[in-house]
Amino acid sequence: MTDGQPQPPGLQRRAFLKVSALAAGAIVVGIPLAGCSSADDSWPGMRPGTLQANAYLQIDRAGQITLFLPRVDMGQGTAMGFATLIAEELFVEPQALEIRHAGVHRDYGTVQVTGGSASMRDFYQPVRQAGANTRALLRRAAAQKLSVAEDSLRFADGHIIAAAGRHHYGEFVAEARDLELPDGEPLVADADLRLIGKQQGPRVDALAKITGAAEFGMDFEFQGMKKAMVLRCPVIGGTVGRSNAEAVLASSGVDAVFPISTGVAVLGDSVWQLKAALEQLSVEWVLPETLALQSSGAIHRRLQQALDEEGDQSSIEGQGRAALEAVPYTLTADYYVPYLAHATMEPMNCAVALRDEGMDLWVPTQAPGLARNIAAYTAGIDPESVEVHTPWLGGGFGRRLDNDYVAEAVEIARYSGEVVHLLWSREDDMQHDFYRPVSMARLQAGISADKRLTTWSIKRAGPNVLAYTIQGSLPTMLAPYLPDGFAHWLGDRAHTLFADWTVDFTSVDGLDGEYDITNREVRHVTVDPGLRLGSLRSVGDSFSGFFKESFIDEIAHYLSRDPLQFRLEYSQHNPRFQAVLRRVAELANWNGKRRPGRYLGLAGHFSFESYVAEIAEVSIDGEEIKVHKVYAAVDCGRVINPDIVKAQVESAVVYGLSAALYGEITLEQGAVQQSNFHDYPVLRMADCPAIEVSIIASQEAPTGIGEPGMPPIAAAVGNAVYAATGRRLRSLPFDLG
Amino acid sequence: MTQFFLNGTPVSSDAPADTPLLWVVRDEFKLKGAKFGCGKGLCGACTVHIDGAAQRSCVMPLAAVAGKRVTTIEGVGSAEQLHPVQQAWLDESVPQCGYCQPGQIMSACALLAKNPDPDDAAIDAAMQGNICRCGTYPRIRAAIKRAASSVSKSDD
Repeated sequence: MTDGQPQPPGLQRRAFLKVSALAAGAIVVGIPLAGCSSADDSWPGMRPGTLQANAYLQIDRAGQITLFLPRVDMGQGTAMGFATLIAEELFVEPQALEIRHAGVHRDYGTVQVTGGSASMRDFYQPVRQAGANTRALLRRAAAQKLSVAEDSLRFADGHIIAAAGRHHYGEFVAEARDLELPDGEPLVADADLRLIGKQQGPRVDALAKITGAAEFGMDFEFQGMKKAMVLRCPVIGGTVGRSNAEAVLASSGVDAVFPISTGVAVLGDSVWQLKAALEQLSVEWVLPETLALQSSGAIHRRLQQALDEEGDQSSIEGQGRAALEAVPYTLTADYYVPYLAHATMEPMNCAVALRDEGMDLWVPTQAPGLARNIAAYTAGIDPESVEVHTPWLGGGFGRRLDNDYVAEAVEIARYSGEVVHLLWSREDDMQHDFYRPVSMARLQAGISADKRLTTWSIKRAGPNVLAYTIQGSLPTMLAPYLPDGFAHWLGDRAHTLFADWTVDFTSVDGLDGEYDITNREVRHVTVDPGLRLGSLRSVGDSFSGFFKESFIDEIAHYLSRDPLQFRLEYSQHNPRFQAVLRRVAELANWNGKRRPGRYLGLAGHFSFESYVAEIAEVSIDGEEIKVHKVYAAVDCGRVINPDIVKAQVESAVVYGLSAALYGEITLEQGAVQQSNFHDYPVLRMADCPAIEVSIIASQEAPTGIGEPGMPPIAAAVGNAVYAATGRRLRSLPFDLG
Repeated sequence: MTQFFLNGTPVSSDAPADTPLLWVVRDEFKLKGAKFGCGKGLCGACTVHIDGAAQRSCVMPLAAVAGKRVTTIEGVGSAEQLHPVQQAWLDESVPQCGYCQPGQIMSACALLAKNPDPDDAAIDAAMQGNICRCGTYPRIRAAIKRAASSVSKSDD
């Protein structure tokens, strides 16, 4: 992915500072959002002389089409997905497009954030429509220039075909620039689709990624740029009291050593030298009061106690939990999941170049809009003066929604006056994450005299993600409108207010479940140890899927029912859910014979508007759980790229298996104890099962696919372990010891 | 000064002898394909070949490669001329975020150079040091098997 015009290789990396000086010849096209006047708008990346009639598409006079991605690609395939939509409507191949992450602009959404498995859900229609409208514009321009009737022209292989010959799109850029963009051009008819829903060529990002040419944030290079690293307080939120910064500056040979909000920064040319300087640093920290007292054993006990409290009601159907009093049989089980770190392969990093007015950021982020605001807030400048450039992201999984590293980089750049590239180590990344919340739940089932499941009651205890998200982002959103200091104060108050005020939906998402049960109730008890939280792939569903689908399996076994039949019986109002259950059962041959020692476990979950069911095939060797194969069936509405849908389910299964089998972040007096992959193990090749994914054909609107594959997997494995051993594992990571 | 061969070209570096090869390759020679992932030889994102063997460059001191042949992803193939392993990666549509893939490909190339027809156990053993958080392992396995038929034993 390049930024700015194609340039000689040596100059390419410098392009980011010169965006405003660019001049060339190209059309630019964006989402026609209500209330936005697109025609005279200036989108980031616009180039003079090109055709850009909307926020997404630019066509230059050579006919090169550039696609500006409204949502970032962190591996989940938005580049290929959006390229496919545009390529379909413009009659080109996806691989022919030049792809760039869009800069920050309101036409990419007021909150320009990639998350919630929403990219294709939100942009399928507008991006396709932008492609179709651009096609109509080109046709009109061509008709004018060639003096022929519009309906005499057709599109094929990236050309406009007229009776007298073939013309590439670039030939009509000049004429098209003077025309109004048509709206509502009919999309390519379903029967004529060449690309959407079909097997396609290689992903548009694949070639660069297998040759080492793809540029990630870590690879950023600018002549004269300084590298920076930071020694942070082991307890997140701690600040620098006293340090030996001056002595380290004298002895280490680095360029600068100075305190910033989160720790002590070192600046220099060589990472190795910076690391040595960090090791010489000694800092007396001012610890955050609450968090510094927290340790994992005590947190677990506190959550356990909280399950005995009343809590707040999140949802209720029928008589809710009161119905438990009236039934002859009840079943109760407590479940637990720990804090989790995201552990993206590429650690956090951010480059900053200050300008006379404003600055440029070069940052792998899921939230370029928030990154811009945080940078502006930190520097006390107008957000409009900050330009954000987004390279490829080395994984995201929700970590890069929080842009704390941007604030650090801006502080360092302002202090030093240098062009700065802040690099985090793996240890920094693991110990200063925004974590998936530790959670417990008490699940209760009420069974009638005729062995019907009539009551479903769940109480979740733990901290809430949104309180931290609001605390982190509110000041940066409001800062321009509020006096100094007030925005920050408000962010802290918002955290408290939000925690006391309402049940965070991300804390209870998915607990109410897919099942027809007359009386249901979900309650919540907030217990917040003070470790900061963030969205981690599938967010609340990452634990609710485990809780709910393990417990429904418990109930089925308690009633001596087949877990598949039991789920089907209680989901008759939900045919799409039933369809994925049936499909996965078929795929795994649920009722068939298996190799000796192999056992199956089933789970299903609805999240991000998509339905997924999974079956894990496991064997047990002593205390070791071996997952041999995972079968998955998914209904995510209309599929744009079948192979990417499969890849995302494979990806979510592997990510979820890491959490189920290994993942655990623990605290000791507020400090995260894990630091690298030796004590925060993740799934590796030898432990990775074969994964088979089946897609339910659908003409419904596209729904999420990056996350929905994750929630069922832990339960599927746990349920298989139960089938194998009769032992019910109710805590993650699983431990048969 | 340390002299070695980088993708076939003799080079020399004045970096301190204990500097990890990864930073020399990335920051001095501007070859950014080998990635920083963990700094402890635990994740394999930095994998390069040293005299044909897959090694973690983030824990390999510069002094240790004196006189040796260092190959990075940039020396394996290019967009115009893909190595058969890279072609297999493309055919199996392996990469997602892509950050770990140069390291994965380096480990796979070293495996296939020694063992042109690896079974699952050999693949497990050779690839165990390379983490992929996007979970592309099943496709990596398929790509290695696809490449196996087309990679000759003498290849490095």
